[in-house]
Amino acid sequence: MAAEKMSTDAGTGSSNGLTQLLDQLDQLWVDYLTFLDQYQAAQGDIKKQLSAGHFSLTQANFKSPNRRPYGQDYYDNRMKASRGYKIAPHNQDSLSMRFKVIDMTDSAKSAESAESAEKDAASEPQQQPSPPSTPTPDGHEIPETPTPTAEDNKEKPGADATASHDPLRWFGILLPRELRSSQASFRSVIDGPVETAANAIRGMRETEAKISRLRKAVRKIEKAEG
Amino acid sequence: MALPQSAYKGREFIAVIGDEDTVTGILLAGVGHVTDPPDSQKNFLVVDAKTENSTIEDAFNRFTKERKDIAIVLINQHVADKIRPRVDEYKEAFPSLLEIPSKDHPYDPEKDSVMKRVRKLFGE
Repeated sequence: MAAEKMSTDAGTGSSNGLTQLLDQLDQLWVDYLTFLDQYQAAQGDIKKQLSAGHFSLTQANFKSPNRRPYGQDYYDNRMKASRGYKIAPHNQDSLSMRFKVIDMTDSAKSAESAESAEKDAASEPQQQPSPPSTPTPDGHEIPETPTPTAEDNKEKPGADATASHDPLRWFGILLPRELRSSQASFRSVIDGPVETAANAIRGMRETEAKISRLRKAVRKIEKAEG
Repeated sequence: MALPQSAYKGREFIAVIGDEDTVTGILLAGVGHVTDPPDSQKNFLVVDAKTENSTIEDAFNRFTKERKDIAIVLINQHVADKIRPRVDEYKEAFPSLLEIPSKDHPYDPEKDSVMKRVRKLFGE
């Protein structure tokens, strides 16, 4: 009777474990479907924004001088990216990764200015306290001339960097406003739905792996019981 | 299982493989990048009617395998169709691959490699 009780307890224990696993599996399916919904919504937004961007670009091409389309003939082969993505852990404890849009001009600018400030501080020779000025025969002191500081030199390169990163510069000076509005549409694609879609894909992949592992565990228990 | 930092650290650029209008538009957004000489590697490929499938596949392999600084690859769906087996078998965590519509070819979820994986998962 004790043995019967023990086997009943073991059966109850394993069915409890199976129930727990099935509950976890259900939650993972909910998470997966949430990511799927986000991905499909992001694709819808990409479609809308790209349509707007293409429409404006076509209008700009219609207005271009000599009907030369704004295309690869204008590309600057020295171009540098002003927009990119950073991949980082989703939470501090989380194993999942997420994409985040970054402005590469600002980060490059601040990194460069921080580095140059450090270099200036390190390379500048330590100034000894100046001896008292020799009085002139008239008794007037010679005024000190102010020296340009690193702060004054920082502002100029920043403004130049922002201007030089704008791809509109490749296409000339007098540009149709449709080209600017096309740029705005394509920028909004990169800043918004592309980031969302990439994060949704990442989320789906991670959840898929968890679902696969859990399914194996469930099958193992079911086989042991069956 | 956590990915090693080497798998994603340093990945910051967006690569694009598409027709001229798509690439021009995406480049207008400020993502175009050419590395310094002597490499001068571009993070985009303009595909037209004369572009060979092997050229597209080479660019795809370059952006997804060889280069370690690409975070996302955008590819027009009609261009992805030309190298469909290669796109469908792509399973790496990074860079992320995203199929996008073009001016003349709307997005079809039936062809999207992401949606194929979803259907496969539900079908198992």
